[in-house]
Amino acid sequence: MNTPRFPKPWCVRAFAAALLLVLLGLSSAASAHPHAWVDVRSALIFDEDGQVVAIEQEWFFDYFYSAFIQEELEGDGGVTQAGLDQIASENMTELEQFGYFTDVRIGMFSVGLGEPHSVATQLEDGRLWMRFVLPLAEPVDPGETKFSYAIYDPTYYVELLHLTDEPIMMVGNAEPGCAARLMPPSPTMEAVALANSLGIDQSPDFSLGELFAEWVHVSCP
Amino acid sequence: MSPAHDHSAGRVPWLAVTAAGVAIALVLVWLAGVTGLWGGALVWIQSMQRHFFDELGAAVAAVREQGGLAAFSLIAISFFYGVFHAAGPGHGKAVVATFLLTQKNDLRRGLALSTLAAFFQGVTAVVAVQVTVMLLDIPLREARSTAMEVEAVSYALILLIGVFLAFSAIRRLRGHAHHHHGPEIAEQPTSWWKLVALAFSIGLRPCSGAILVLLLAHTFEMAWAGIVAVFAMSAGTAGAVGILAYVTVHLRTLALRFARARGDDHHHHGARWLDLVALTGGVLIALLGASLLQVALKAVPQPIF
Repeated sequence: MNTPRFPKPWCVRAFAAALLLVLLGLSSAASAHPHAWVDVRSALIFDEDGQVVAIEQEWFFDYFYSAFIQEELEGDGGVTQAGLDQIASENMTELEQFGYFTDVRIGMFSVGLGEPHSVATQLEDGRLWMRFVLPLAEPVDPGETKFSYAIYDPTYYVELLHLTDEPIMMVGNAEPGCAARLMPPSPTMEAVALANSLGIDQSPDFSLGELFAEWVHVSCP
Repeated sequence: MSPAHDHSAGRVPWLAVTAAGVAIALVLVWLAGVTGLWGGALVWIQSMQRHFFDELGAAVAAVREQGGLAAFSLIAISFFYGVFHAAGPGHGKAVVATFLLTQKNDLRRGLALSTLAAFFQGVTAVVAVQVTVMLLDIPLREARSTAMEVEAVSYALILLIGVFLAFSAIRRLRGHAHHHHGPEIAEQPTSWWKLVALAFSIGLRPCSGAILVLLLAHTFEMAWAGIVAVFAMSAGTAGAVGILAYVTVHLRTLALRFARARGDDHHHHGARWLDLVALTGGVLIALLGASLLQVALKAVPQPIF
């Protein structure tokens, strides 16, 4: 029996390259697939001393989710404000273990969050709307430290993005010259491939969303 | 050895064009990765997807309010969503491309595979939604995630088919050890039932867009509009994956022709390395299935959606 003769090496290499490409295409996008969408509007709330004490958020749920909620309420005897409030309160409870999808940082360090309050909700033109104010555990002086926040689902099942053409609002006694810049997501091929290839014991599910997160950078003079 | 001999020089430009196109695509993908454009492209794909879902939702609502005529716009949007969804990277295409690249298939089989997979995907979505909504009678919010659970079965089947393909290649390799005078044995095209099984396993993963549209149509009590939209999506997907199948089948033919033109002793050993390629392909498909299955099984429950 002769040893098998293989075609010229370049041919095998080209073939391997094509296969790798296919695999890369798969790994990059297999998990990169949000199934629900939320339009976000957010505002920074400052105290008397010009420190950030809370982030107010408005969420506009997508058409499908809104319709499902509507159907759920109709099944329970009609869409009422009490029914909507009930759903919003359940959702806030569920979101607690996910840190309300809100990642606040000073430099590289995470900032603790308090209990959300002023929860409100409405169903208008087929879209479900929810508002809440999320306090920071400690007030932050954005003039002293690099302060930023992002609103995202770590699993990337839900894609939360700020409404385009709407600035980040500043409420309260912000220093004149304070600015909030919205940075669009910029995932890299390596990072997404890594997030998808984590081992069995680690969960890639919890690292993907961050790669597709929008960040708000706050700076004060 | 038919592909190498039965075509005259007149066919060569076609293959050269395909090869050049693939080469350019490879370079572009590499450049995109190096320059960071890839991330931008990915973000763009996601924003298009977001946009499509908005349009789909609005189109279903328009059919409810305006009736018949608006159905055409729903069909058109669904079709383009199908094209778009299939043009982006995804597991179905990875399996189809790997399969067509590593196993012997003619164009007819390649196109049949892509069309059947897209059609099965539409059927899966319709059946999954009908079953969850009609029989189980659960809220639509939960019906959606329940309907998506079929995907684990799809991945398991892909894993099985990959293993099966690998084992047939091994069996052929063993066979050659006994009669190595018959190199043509390995060049048997894939059997049709194997093709249908593969298409079925790919299609068993329902498209999330199809499920959403079906559920929305259901809330409006217009299930028919949802079903029409889903098959328009399937048609779009079939077209886009069909183009991929066309390119892949030609790419394989081209690679084989080069390999044979350069190897001197090909009539005696060609089949053997083809079986090794088929074995690699089977293993790759099994690995794809396994990794997808693993991700699907450990999916975390969503807090509110």
